[in-house]
Amino acid sequence: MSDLKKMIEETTDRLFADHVTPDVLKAGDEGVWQEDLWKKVEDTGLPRVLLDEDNGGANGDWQDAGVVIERCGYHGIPLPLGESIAANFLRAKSGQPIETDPTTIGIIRTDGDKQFAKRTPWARHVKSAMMALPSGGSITQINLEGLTIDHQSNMASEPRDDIELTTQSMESASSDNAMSEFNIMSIGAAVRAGQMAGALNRVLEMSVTYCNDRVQFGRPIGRFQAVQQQMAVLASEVAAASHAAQTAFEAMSQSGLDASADIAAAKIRTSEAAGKAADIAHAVHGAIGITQEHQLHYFTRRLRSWRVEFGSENYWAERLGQKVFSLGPDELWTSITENHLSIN
Amino acid sequence: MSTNAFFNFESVTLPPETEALRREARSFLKENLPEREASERGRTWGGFDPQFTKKMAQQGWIGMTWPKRYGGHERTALERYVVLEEMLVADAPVGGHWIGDRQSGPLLLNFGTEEQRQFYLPRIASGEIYLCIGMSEPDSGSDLASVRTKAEKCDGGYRVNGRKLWTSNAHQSHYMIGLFRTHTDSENRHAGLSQFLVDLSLPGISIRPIPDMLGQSHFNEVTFDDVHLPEEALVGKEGAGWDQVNAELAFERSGPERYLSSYLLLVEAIRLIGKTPTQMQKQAVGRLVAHMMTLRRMSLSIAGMLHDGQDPRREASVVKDLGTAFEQELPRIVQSMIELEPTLATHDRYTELLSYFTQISPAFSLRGGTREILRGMIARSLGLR
Repeated sequence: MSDLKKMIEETTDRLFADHVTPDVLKAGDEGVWQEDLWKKVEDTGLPRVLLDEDNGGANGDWQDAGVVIERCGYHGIPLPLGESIAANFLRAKSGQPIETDPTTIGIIRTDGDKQFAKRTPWARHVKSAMMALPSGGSITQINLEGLTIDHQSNMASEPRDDIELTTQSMESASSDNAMSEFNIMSIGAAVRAGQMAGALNRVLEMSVTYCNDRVQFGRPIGRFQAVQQQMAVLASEVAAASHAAQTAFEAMSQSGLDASADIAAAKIRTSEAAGKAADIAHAVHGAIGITQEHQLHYFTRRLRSWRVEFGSENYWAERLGQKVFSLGPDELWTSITENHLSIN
Repeated sequence: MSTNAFFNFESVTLPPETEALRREARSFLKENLPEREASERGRTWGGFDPQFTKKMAQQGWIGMTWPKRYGGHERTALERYVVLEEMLVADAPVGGHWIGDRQSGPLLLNFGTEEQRQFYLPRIASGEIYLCIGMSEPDSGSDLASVRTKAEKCDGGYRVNGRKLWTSNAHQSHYMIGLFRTHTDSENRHAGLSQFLVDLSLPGISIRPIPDMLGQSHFNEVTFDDVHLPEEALVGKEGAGWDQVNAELAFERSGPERYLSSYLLLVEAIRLIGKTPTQMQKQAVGRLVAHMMTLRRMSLSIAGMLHDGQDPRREASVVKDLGTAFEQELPRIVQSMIELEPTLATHDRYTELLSYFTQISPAFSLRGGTREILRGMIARSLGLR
């Protein structure tokens, strides 16, 4: 691990462990914006981890960003930090000014004679977002102030808002035609895969602790083979998902958003693990796990939501599969051994 | 991200020199891979072909990581990994030397005497001798510590009596590394086991092949009737067999063969579907490939641990459990993608392979340690016991 990565991991972990308390998780769940926590996050420069020093960044690569994003998932931080890292990366790439406010990413689609950015993460709490324009395939900074925002949320009570765009908000946009809606899907999928890797590790640790603490039939439930076999499945799924996410961030450090096959594999693998892991963790925890008295639900609800955001496993599997078929049977192995295959 | 609290999967980047080796392996395979029946190809690392083994030896691809003074080639674990995965995806018949290269050689390097190393290792590396592993017995499968075949001290060595079962390729091997009981300790069943190098041509040994349900011969029953072994047949320390076997099983469980067994079927399914897949076919294949990409990276990570001299036992049990689940679900998923009946011997490559893998895939999570045993080991790694 590089020194920078180690330092970033320690900083992030300490900050989140100290401040993402049960009260903060609960308040976040109830829709309360955590302004103080955002200030602290902003002070550390984490939203700009990928930017160079001129832009107030840490000059980090996607592996460094991956550490931050993974820790976001592990601690369940109720803030758009992953989204801000992604949006600032896109800003820097297209030469747009970087802001210290929270920001997000989204996709604009045409519906009749109107244009909407539906299910935009945290839109009500941000001033501007990096968004893919409809059918033009470019990514643009959109000012969200004054727009009609319909408050929606995912299963974990995280804001996923529907925005109605005006002609004015679209006109002010300068655009970079080299990037596309697919890039927003890719960068979003990478963020969610990293967050899922973190939440999966948290759910595993909580389940191991519970297996050792909970006594039934006169012994900790972790001593029963029936429970051990399930826990082994959980642990293996978590290991695979973490490694898939790690591989994607490494590939992105080399090839950016062109590493789309690795991003696809990571989203497919973490999404699949998310469902299995949430089911096993709840099975192991019993009734307490499905109550608000235990913290497990903060993580399983996020896992089940993130699983389908920025493309479910089927969305990405279809695209990866399309690429495999177009290469043909005799190129499959070559393409797997060649690093950083692109599927767009 | 190294935040998993229980397992250490560091990512491994293959060094550039492995790329040339990979190209070498691919062109070698193009020239030297014999034409075979579909089911024979399906056996992958179970396939047996002395000529092919000889050619591998001439390339320096057996005993790749062993010291040169023992006939090895002093290449890295990662270089060996690249050759292995290329052989496996091509279904090369590597069964002759597989056991010796994978585990018996490393066992002798770790625990063997200088004489044993000098005699056996160069012969394994040159493709002259094949080894098999005598662990299981009629009453001893997953519960390996219950082995009863006895090696009793006698004049000038040991006298062996008992039976080994499911011994893969014993009928085609020159030597067995057998796990025998040299001592009975009612307090500690893991004590009193020892490993021996057994020359299978010795008097008193009889080998009976047991055809599997598909009619293929790899299993054997090996009976020992007052077989006399010289003292120098002992491997490592008398009574230390349990620990030695566990170290050896790490090699047995850690390789890429634990997820690639049915890869050939995926390739043939993609060929059959052609250029106009349905949405469901794309999703199914994309998912399988995502799993494969991940398993390969994890498998490489274990090769990296071996490369760095670390003990990959915990991680290997995770990859074997995930890998065998993958290679077992592959025939089922492929079947659901293409509405064709599996067939026996109709010279239709795809349906024959489908038939072969549909039937044989339960074996994938039996060989090398059952799924339940591995999951028990994973649970122990979590601190649950």
